[in-house]
Amino acid sequence: MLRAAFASVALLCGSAAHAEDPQWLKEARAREGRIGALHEIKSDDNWLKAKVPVKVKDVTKLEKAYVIALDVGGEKPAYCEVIPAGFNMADMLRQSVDSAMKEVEPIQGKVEARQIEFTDAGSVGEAPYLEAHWLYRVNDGKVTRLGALKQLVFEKHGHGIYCSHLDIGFVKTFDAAARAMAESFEAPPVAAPPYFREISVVSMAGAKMGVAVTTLESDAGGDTQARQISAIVLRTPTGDISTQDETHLERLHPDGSMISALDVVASNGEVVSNVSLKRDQAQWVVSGQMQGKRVSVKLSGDSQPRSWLEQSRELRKLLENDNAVGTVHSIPMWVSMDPGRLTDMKTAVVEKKGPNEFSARASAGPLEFQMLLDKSTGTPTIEDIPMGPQTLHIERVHLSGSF
Amino acid sequence: MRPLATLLLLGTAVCAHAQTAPPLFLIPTEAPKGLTLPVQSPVHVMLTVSDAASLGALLGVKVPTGVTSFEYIVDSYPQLESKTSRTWLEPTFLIDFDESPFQTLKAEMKDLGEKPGREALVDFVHRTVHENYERGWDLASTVARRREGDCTEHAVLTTALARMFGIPARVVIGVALISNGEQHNAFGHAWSEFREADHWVVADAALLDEQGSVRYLPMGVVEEEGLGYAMGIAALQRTWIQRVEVLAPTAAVAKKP
Repeated sequence: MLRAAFASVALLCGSAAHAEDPQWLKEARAREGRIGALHEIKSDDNWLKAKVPVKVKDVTKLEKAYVIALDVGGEKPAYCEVIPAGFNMADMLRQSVDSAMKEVEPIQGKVEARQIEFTDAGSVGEAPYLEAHWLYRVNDGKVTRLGALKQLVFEKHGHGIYCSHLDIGFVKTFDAAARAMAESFEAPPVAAPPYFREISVVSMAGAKMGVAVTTLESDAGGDTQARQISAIVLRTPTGDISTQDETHLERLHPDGSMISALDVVASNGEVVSNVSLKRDQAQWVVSGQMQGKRVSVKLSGDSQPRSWLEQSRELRKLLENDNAVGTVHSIPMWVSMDPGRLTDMKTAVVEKKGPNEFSARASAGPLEFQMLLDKSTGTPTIEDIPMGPQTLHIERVHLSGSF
Repeated sequence: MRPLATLLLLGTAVCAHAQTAPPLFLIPTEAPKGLTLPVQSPVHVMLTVSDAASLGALLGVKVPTGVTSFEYIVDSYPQLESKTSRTWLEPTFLIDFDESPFQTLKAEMKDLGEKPGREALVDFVHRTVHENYERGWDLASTVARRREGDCTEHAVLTTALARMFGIPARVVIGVALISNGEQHNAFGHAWSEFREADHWVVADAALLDEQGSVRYLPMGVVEEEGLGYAMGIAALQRTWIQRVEVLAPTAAVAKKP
């Protein structure tokens, strides 16, 4: 549905989020499709399957993707695109809104403005997801109209799935279909499933804006890979989005000690930092690029980087102690904010908050923040990091497996 | 510890821009109804900050430990002391005017003379860098190449150009208090400071065309300009002002400790 929008809707005005919608827009926003019995999705080659509570219109295999058309109500179907081997989640949202607007233009007219209305983040079972809703304004030379785009992107079994719907309204129907897809999606996994997974939601001032996922996987040689990814969507002052995707990978010996590490940051899809940590004979060497500049640094002679797994195990052990409150744990780690040297990560246990939880004051070098630690894992369930006049809140929403 | 470079670089992309009101960089501001402030006049403010004692020390005001707000008079530009002894003239990882994109810029600046002054440099950066709020905190050479960004990109490029022409310069983060008639708003901001006649003076290319009167309140100097510059910037969050109350002159007297 595309409706004429005259001066009544202040799209791209600073106060648009609080503006009263005209009656027709309220009615359009309230429309929903039919949510009913589960319908099976299956590709012809049996590679993927899922179940959704809406009618399945089509399943198509493309060269590098599968596309599933779902009837969520309205004139146009919602589409879920399955990209085997995955993608950067936050960047997928940003890229896809650009693509959607390009597709819209020949049909609906020039896209004069677009504005993000809503973001959400979380997990459906073991699948982390990001969601964004947009409103856009087109002009075909005769009349100005409004349109809407809903996007939900998730990652499961190492594959990336992007669902979208170009229409105003049908929000609950789209959500039900996309979330059911995330919950039931099955396909051959890219790698052996991780034996531990934590998913946290990143929010600021109550607005959910990203996910952070930590997994532990075993490789064939018995070593462990600790992988931490984060995908963040930040609203810009112009009503658009800026995205950052980061992957931090540590290869570890069975005892948790570091073999090597890698950190890659992509900003709006562009890799801005790609640095690795490797042992070269007796010394640890950092190499790679940051914003296109070559980086090559030898850590000082006696530096021994410790791992995420070692930190967690040591904190878990510390919290099992009856005298944990008041103790301070300190460990040198390689963090991407300061890759040229090791950063002293301190955790001061402040108070027992429950049978399994302790509040703590943490610091990464000069950066200080608060956290709530889970005694059973040695990892934080909540982190509150001051950021300007706001606080960045990171809260665990999913935990499976153990180490 | 999570891989937080991403988050903190995003968080530092917080720049004053009076035409918009995004939630992250707008600092909650209160002012008495109808208060207008003559341009250049001192302004009494009550600042709320989690580590008020540290910010007070930076600004030369004695604030008892444990206190979370204090009154301050925004008058002459505060001179923040550096923790390190340096010339502020050298190229660094962040202020990398020794990289090739600066040769192109230098060629474009030849009409500005052998050693352009502050106003010419600020004006050049203002004309050269296009507004783009999608950048995090780019290196000066990246700004010189891409020519886009927000206040942080304006600040690093201005600083780099100043050093390239032999003017000591540094980047600071702080608050821009923008008054437009009876409207007063405080924003997180970054700008450059040039060393002139033994004083640090503001060189702000981002707000050059701002219609309101701008008062600057620095909260920290970006001292770490090496590979760990993101960590250095993150550390400055401790003295970040969380709320600004603009006081009427009478209230200011009454509230003085």
